[in-house]
Amino acid sequence: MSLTARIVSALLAAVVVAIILKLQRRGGMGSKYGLLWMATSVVMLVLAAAPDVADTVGDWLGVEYTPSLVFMAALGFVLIVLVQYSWELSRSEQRIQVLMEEVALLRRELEDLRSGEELDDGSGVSE
Amino acid sequence: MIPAYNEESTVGTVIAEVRRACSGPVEVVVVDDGSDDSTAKTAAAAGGTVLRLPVNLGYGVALRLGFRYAASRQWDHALVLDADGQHIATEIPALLAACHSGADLVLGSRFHPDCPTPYQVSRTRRMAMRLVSRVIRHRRGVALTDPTSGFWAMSRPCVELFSKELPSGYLDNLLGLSIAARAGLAIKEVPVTMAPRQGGQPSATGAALVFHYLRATLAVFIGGRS
Repeated sequence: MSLTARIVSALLAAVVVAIILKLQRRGGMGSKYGLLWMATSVVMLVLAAAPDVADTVGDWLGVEYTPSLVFMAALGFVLIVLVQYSWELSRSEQRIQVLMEEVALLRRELEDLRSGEELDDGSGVSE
Repeated sequence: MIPAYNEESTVGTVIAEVRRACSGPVEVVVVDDGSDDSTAKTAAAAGGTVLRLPVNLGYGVALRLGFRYAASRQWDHALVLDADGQHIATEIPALLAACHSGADLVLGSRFHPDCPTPYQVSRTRRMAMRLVSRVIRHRRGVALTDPTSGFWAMSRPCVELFSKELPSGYLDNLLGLSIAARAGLAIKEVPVTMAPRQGGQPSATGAALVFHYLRATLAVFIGGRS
């Protein structure tokens, strides 16, 4: 890999690290995802600074064309993360729905209690 | 129980008709699924108990909320019908009668062999319904002519089951049927006629409807939650 390519990819990885840090500090990104993306950007940094690492792993796994290994790993990683997001999203959606149902039931109860009180006042009965 | 989303023009009439059709003590509950119009106000003025969802969450959530309310009030029977006037309130006693004669879940079917004039739907929809019926028969051994009917009555065990386990998507009454069948509840169909929609907008059309059918059918097939 040429020096320019290394510098560009290292810069890219550094930008990702910076963005993640900023989001964690001010954007309210949870530390769970923060850790995930920090680890990802560290891997990116390592690969940018020392592309030989990918070649070594490729040799070890018996992969002829190393870039395809990198792409495959990246694709697999993204896929897993997306599936996890779908699951998490469904779970949040379900929780919101239950919460809303609960809000509606509580509002009904509150209104019933209020109208009950008004009736009590009208009849002059007090405890 | 009447799930309603932006049905201010019809919900009042439907409540009045339900009251007229029922003898004995009856509570009419309108689940307002985050309407932007005055559905809740109209329903309350017509004497309905209004449960209001703060935002629009869809038919399935509205249904489940209604069932939770019904279960908490320990209703002996619950009956669901549309707020747009498509279901004819004078047919309520027939559904309840089927409930009294031992069925846990009674569906008002628009395609029952005993219907004098079967309800007309588009070819796509008819095909989708056939597919769904087939999947339900295959998975649960229950033969139904109109599994997507929104006009149904049920006994308390079924209300309690649905209050806990009804999934929350549109058309998930299909999954409800599947869940009820799996729980060993007795399901029965009763012929009903369907009036044209009196007002409001259909919940889903076109591609969205196809998507919901596919999703619900797949969910029935897999047997999980939505």
